[in-house]
Amino acid sequence: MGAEGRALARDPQPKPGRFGGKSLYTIAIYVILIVAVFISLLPFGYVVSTSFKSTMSLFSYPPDWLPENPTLDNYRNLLNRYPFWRWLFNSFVVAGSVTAIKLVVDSMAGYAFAKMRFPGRDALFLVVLMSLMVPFAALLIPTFIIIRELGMLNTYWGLILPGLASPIGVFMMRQFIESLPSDLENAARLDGCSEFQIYRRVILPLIKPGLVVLGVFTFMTQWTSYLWPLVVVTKPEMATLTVGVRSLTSTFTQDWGLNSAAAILSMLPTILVFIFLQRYFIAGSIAGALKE
Amino acid sequence: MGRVEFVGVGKQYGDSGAGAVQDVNLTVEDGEFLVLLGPSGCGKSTLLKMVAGLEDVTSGEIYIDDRLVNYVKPGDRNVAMVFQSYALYPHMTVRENIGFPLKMHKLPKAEIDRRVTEAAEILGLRDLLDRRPEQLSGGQRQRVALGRSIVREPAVFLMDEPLSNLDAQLRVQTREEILKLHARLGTTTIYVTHDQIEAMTMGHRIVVMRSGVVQQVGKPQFVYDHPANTFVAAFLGNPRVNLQTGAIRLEADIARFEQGEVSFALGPALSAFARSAGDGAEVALGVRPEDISVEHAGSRKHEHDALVKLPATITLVEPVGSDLYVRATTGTMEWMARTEARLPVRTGDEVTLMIDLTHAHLFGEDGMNLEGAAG
Amino acid sequence: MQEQAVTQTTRPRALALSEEEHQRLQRRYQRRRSLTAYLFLLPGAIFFFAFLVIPILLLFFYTFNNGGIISEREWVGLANWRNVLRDDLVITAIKNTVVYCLMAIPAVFVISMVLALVLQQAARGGSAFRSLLYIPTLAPYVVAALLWQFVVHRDFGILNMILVEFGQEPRNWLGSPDLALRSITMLEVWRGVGFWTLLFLAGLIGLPKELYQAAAIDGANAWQRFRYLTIPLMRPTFFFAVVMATIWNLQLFDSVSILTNGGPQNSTVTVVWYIQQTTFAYTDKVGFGAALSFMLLLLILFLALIEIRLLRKR
Repeated sequence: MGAEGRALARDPQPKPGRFGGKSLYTIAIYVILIVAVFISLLPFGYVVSTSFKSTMSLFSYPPDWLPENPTLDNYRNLLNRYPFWRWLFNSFVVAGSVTAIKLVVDSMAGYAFAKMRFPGRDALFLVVLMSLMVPFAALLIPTFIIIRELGMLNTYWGLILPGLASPIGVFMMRQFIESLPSDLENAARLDGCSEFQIYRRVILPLIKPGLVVLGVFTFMTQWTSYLWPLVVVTKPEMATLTVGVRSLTSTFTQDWGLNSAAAILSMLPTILVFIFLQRYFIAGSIAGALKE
Repeated sequence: MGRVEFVGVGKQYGDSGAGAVQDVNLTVEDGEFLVLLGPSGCGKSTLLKMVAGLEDVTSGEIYIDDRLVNYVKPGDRNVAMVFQSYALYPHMTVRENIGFPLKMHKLPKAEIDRRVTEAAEILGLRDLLDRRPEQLSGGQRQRVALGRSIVREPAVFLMDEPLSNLDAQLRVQTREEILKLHARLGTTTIYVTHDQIEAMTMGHRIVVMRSGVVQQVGKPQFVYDHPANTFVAAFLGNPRVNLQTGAIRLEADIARFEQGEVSFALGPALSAFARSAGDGAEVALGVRPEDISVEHAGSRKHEHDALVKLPATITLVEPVGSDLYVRATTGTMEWMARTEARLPVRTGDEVTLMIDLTHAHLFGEDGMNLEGAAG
Repeated sequence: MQEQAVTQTTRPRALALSEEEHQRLQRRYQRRRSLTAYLFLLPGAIFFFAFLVIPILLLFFYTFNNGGIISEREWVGLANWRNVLRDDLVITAIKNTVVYCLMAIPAVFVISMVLALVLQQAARGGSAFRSLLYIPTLAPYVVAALLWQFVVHRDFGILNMILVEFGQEPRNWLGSPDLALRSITMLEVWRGVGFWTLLFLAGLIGLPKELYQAAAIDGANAWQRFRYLTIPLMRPTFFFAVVMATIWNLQLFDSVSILTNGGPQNSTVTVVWYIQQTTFAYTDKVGFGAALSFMLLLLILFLALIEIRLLRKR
C-alpha cells in the first residue's frame, strides 16, 4: 500500500535530463537487492533440493540442483524413526512459554521504569542497563548448578527459567512505554483506574507493535537456542529441535538427506510466524526502542 | 456541589524552584468558573494538577467540598479533567472513551449507556459514537474529551488549556460551547490558559499567576481596570499598557509626573495616590493604549482635569482594521495609542497626544499599584 | 470599591493538620505508590536475581573451587586463576574470539548498512526483500551449520564449485587451520546480515525527513546527505549496535561447536567453546571453566564500557 505514493512523494517532478540516471540508479538498487537475496537463500535452495534426493543420488558429481527422482523418503524416515514431533513440541513449549512470560513480566517492569515514581528507580534501571552486558554463556556453570539443585534437569522448567533472566526486554519495553504521552495514563488515573488497570487497559493495547517485536525476537532466540538445551537436557525425549536435529549427525556418517529434511521442517514454523508478523518489525518500532 | 479551597498550597521540585508554586490561598465557590491565567511556567498547570492529584502537594492543604484531598487518589477525588492534548484513548471508540470512567467506577451497563447517549446528545456526537479518535477532527476530539469528563458528573471540572490546539475560528466556537455547557451543568470549573481573551470572556473570576505566586484574584474587568501590579497591568490588554517611569513632584494641590524634560499634572485621583508615595518618589505610570488618542479636527473637545496633552512625533502606524495603533514619542517617552481606524496620520507627523488619566495607574518602586496601598 | 486590587493573602481556613501529621500522611501516600511500582518490578526481579545475580555470585565462588558437577566440590583457592592465566589454549581462545569479532562485526555492519540504505530507496517490493533477507537469521545454528556445509564442503560445496569453475584449486574450507575461522566468520556474517539490516533500516526510517528535504534544497548531494546527515543522525543506532554486537559476538559458540568443534589444530577454539568443553565434555574442570567464564564476563564488561566511553564522547 502506498508504495507508489511514496515513490511519487520523494521525487514529484523528475527532471527530464536526469531521467536516464534515475532509472539506472533504480536498476542498480534492484541488482544489489537481488544479489543479496540470492546469496541469502542459495544454501536454502541446496538444502531443499537435497531433502528430496534419494541416498543414491546424493553424491553425484557435479551435484544436481534438481533431484532426478524426487522422493519423500528422507521426510518419512525422519518422522518415523526419530521423535521429531516430540522435539518440535518441546521447542514450542519452551519458546512459547518464555515468550509469554517475558511479555508480561518485561512490560510490567518497563511500565514501572517508564512511568512510575519511586525511590531507587534510576539506580535500578542502571543495574538493568549494566546487566545487558552480562553474557549468558559465562553463567552456564552456575545456572546449571542452580537448575540441578532445583531438580529441574531434563524438565521444561529447566529449559524455560534461565531464559527469563535477560533484561533486554525490560529495556525495550521501557523505551516503548516512555514514548507514550503521559496525559493518557493521567487521564486513566483520573478516570478511576488503578495502576494495574492503566497497565492492562491503556498501556498494553497501545504498545502492541512493541510487544510483537519483543515477542518475535524472544521466540526466535529461544527457538534457535542451542547451548543451554545441550547442557540441561540429556534425555532424548526432552530434546528441543536444535539439540534433536544435531543428534542426527552425531553418529559417524552424516545422512545429508535426513539432515536436510530436518532442517527444512524445523525452520518452517519460524519462517511462517515471521512472514505473518514482519510488518510490525519495521513500523519504526525498533527505532523507537533504541532512542536513548 | 464543588467547592475547592487552597490553603497555603505550595509545590517544590527538589531544590530548584522551577515550575514551583508558593503559598496559594484561594476559595473556588460552588458553580464558579475560575480561570488561572499566566505565562508558561508560572505554575498554573501545576496548581491544576495538584487539584487533580497528578502532582503531590508539598505544603498546605487542598479541600474539595470540605474534604482534605492531599492524600486522596486522583480517581477518588470526584474531579474530571480535560487535557490540552485531549488524551483520548486511541484504541477505543468514542463510545468506549466516554463510557470508560463509568466502567472503571463499576456503573451498571444500562446506566453507562444512558449517560453516554445523553452526553453525546448534548455535545452533538451521536453520529460519531463508533468512530475512533484518529477519525475525528480536532474540534470533535475536543468534544469527546468534554464528554468523557461530563458523564462522570464530577464535583469539579479541571481544564488544562483545552482550546490551544484548535484553530482560531474553532476556538471561539468551542469557547462558547464550554460556556453553554457550564451554564447548563453549573459544575465548578477551574480553567487554565495563557490566553487573556479566553480568561476575560470565560472567567467569573481570574487568578493571575507569575513564577508560582498568585498576583491577583478578581473579576476579569476589575482586574483589568485595577491591576495589582505592573506585571498584571502588562499581562492583560493588547497592545500592552504604556508604562512610563518617572518621579513625583508634589505641588500645592496637585501632583506632577516628571521624566527628563517632560512633565505633566496627574489629575486629582492619581494625585491622591502620588501624595502617599511622597515627593520625588520613583514611580511607574500605567496608561492603557485605548486611553490615548491623537488630536484631530473631529476629536471630542470636552476637556477635563485628568486629560494631558503632549506634543509628539509619530514613529509607527499599524492599522489592524477595527483600530489604528499609533506609536509616538515625546522626549524620552514612547507611547502606544489605540485610536479610531482610518485616522489620517503618517509616520513622521507632528501631533498632539491626548492622554486620559482617568483610568491610569501609579505603581510604586516595588511595582505594586499605589491605589492598593492608599486603600 | 469593595473589591481589593491586591490578592487576598488571608487563608480561607486554618491548616487542619500539623506539619508532622502532613509529613506522616505524605510518606504513607508516597509509600503506597512506591509499593505498587515495586510490585510491578517484582516478577522480573525474581528471575533477575535467581538467574543473573545469584549465578554471577555463584560463579565467582566456583572460581575458587573445583568439581561440583560430577565430582565433589573442593576448595582450591587461587589455583584455577593461576591455571587459567598460564593455559596456552586460553590465550588461543581469546585471540581467536577477538580476531573473529574484528572480522565479523565490521563486515556485517558494512554489508547491512549498504543493504539498509538500498532497501530504503527501493520503492517497490521493499518489504518482500526485507523478509527474504531476514530468513538466514531465522535459521537455528544447527540448521545454519548444515546449510553452510553445503557451501564450504570440500567435495561438493558451492564455494569450491565456483573456484573450480574459475580454474582455481578447491580448498578445504573447514579442514585447514588458515581458513576455518574465516569460514565460521562467513557463516556468522551470512546469518547476521538480515538482523542488522532490519535494525539499521528501522533507524533510517526513524530519521526526520524534513532535514533531508532542507538539505536537498540547500544543494547537498546524496553523498553529502549521507555523510553529514545520515551518519551523525544514526549515531544512537550505531552506538547500540556496536555495543550489542560486541557482547553477542564475544560469546561465539554454536557454529564452532557444530562445524569444527574447535579444530583443526585449535584454530577455531573460542572462549565459550573452551568453557563448555572443560565443564561439560569429557573433563570435569568446573573451577577452571568458572574462572574462564569470569574472565569472559570481565572481558565483555571491559570492552563494552570502553566502547560506551569512546562512542559517548564524540
